[in-house]
Amino acid sequence: MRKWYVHDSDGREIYLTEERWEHIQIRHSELKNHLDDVLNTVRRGKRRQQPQDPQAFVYRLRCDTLRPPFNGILVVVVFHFEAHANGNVIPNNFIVSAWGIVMRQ
Amino acid sequence: MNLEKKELKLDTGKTAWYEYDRDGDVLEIIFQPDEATGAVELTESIILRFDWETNEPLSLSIISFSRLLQANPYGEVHFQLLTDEWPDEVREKIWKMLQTTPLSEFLKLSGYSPAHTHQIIPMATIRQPYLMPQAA
Repeated sequence: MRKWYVHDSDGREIYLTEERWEHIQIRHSELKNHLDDVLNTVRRGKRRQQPQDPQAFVYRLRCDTLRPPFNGILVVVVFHFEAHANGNVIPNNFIVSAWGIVMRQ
Repeated sequence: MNLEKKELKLDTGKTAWYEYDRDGDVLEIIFQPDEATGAVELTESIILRFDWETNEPLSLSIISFSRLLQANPYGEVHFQLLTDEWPDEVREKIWKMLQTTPLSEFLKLSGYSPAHTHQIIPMATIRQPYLMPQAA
C-alpha cells in the first residue's frame, strides 16, 4: 500500500496512507481528486494544536480549486512515537483525516 | 485503520451511524451519506458537513474525541463555537441546525458570560448518548 510523505513548514515529516486517502475521498467527497491540495495544506497551512490533545494538530489552508462554496481544507495530523525492537524511538506522524470547509472570506 | 462502526437510532426514528477511528481518535456521526455542499468548523474540534440547499446536517466529526470526554473536576466541558469564522451566508442555517434534531441530540448549546463584560460567548457541549463508543 502506498504512502505519501510531506514536510510541514517547520520540517516535520508527516505521511498519508493510501487506505486513509481512500477513506477521505469516500467520506468527504469534496476532496476527491484533490490529493495534492490536501498534502499542500500540510506543507503550507497554518498549524494549530488541539487544546485537549497535545499530540493532535490541525492544519488549515485556503484552497480555491475545490468546488464552491468550499474554499479551504482542514487536515488533522497526530504526532506519535513508535518504539523499535532495538530500543530506538522514532516519530510516527500521520494524517488522520481531511475535510473541505467553507472559510470566511 | 481501526474503524469501529455502529448504527444509532435517532429520536426522530431515523437511523444514523458512527465510525470511530480509534488510531486517530476521530468520531464521525453520519446522518446521511449524501454529498455535502457545505462544511464549517463548529468548534476547534467539531466539524459539521451539511446540505446547503436543504439545511440538513449530513455528518458531525469530532477530533480528539476521547480527550474531549475526559472527566474534569468542574463537570461538563463547554467548547466555544467559532461563530466568527462562519461565513455570514451560512450563520443562520447553522444556528437552525444546532437547535433541531439530529444535531441537538449530540450537542447542547449554552452561553458563557465572562466576569466584567456584557458579552455572552456561545458554547456547546457534547452529549454522550449511551450508544456512543467508549473512549479509548
